[in-house]
Amino acid sequence: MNSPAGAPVRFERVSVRYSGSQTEAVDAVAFDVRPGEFVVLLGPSGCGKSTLLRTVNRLVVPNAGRVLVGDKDTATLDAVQLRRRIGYVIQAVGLFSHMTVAQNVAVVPSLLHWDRARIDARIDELLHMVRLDPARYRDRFPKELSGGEQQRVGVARALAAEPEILLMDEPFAAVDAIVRHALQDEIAEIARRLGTTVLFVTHDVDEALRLAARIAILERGRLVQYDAPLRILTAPAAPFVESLLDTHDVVRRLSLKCARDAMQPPRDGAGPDVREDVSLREILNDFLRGAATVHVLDGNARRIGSLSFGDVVAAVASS
Amino acid sequence: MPPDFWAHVRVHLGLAGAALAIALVVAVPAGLFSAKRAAARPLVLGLVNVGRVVPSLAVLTLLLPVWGVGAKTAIAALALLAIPPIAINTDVAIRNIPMAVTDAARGLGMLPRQILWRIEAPLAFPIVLAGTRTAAVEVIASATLATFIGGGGLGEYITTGLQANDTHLLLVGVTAVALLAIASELAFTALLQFAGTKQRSRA
Repeated sequence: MNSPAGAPVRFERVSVRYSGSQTEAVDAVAFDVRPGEFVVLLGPSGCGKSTLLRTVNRLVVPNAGRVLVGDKDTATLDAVQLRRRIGYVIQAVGLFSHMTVAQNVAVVPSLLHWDRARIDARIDELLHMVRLDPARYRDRFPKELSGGEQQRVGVARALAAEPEILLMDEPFAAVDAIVRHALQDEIAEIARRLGTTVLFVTHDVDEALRLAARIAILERGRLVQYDAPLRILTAPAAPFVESLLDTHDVVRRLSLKCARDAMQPPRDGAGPDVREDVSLREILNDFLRGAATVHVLDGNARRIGSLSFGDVVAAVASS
Repeated sequence: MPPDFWAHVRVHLGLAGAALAIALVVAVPAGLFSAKRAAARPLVLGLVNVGRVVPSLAVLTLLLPVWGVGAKTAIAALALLAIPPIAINTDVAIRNIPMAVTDAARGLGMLPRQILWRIEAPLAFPIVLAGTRTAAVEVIASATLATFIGGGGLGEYITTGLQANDTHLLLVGVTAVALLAIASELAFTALLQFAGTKQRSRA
């Protein structure tokens, strides 16, 4: 089944103020998300990242500014129709406990009046996609599933009607680290394969670095930096970004690990050579200069491995 | 067995059933309203609780000048008694649905009425049914009082038995009411279990 390519999203000076609050929860935030791009909204709790996310499917209506989805101002669209084009995954999953896995996944296709055969085929396809065997899981109820399995169903439900955009609000915060890493890898792979635009909220710097093509960092409702992970690491645009990286110890971990710790089997391709004991932090400079691959040499100048930026982040994040 | 026994049982169940039906029609929307409007909750639940605080006998006496003697007054008094457990359980059932569930439902593009009928109603149903079970037992037991205002039912055996010092008749009335109450409790419990398994096995 062919999914439509992801839609672009544009925030134009979006502000949100909750009634009874003195300050803006989101304050004149503006940035663009390209079709099919994986963007992470990063910041501490209360920074407005979830609020900003919820303006995209109009669960929150901005007080000022515009949110454009696929070049259309969402204020001019019917909110319910809009939501059916946008997948939505939340931390607490929110599965419907009186429905089976299959019925949960089928919610949006049913709302869209797909015929029975198409829905059934789609359920099996989606369960395969999130690595749940349809034969075993279709007819189970949510309370019979582990936390990780529930979130897989949550992801399948969000993807059911081939959304152009997937909104994920701290989706993996409640599952343990091993399951979280597996789910991160899978969602990255699914989004890449389907071409879906993803907006992903987290407070976890490692998760942001692992997943994002670009990271939007929010502090008290304001956008302080919007950049690729490499740029965030090497050129933090504000003291707040530095302190965010500090609290998560990312830079120190980059300094402590060396090329040998992160390298993968040697690959072909042009790229500078580094010695195996060079720290990952120094290697970031090579990526900054535009290298896609860095080759790792041992003491005898033999090539023993290769590294991409993704490998560096994975090595740091898994520690 | 006294003559007309089954007729009395029928009248008794009729009174209780009518009262329960009226109570459901009033209490479920009232509970729903108080669950959705936090500001209105104290008022709604306060009003509803009147039925619990004022003794049924007093209600009968108060309604007597308005509607006179007969079944209508008795049913109204009994309905008042049945409303609180149903309304309170409806309120609690709806408020206990996790925020995440309704948030997800909205985010997936469900209309408010779809959320109500497809999500909230089925999730709340078992708790509302449990409240109805409580109400049914209370109403069956209290329908005995209908006889004081000429509403009939099994209470007649009890009042006549007391006045005529007829222990046999008294016991017939008391036992029949007790058995009906127990039977209703068991029936509702079975219904609850059936609803539970049906919900769990539906593919």
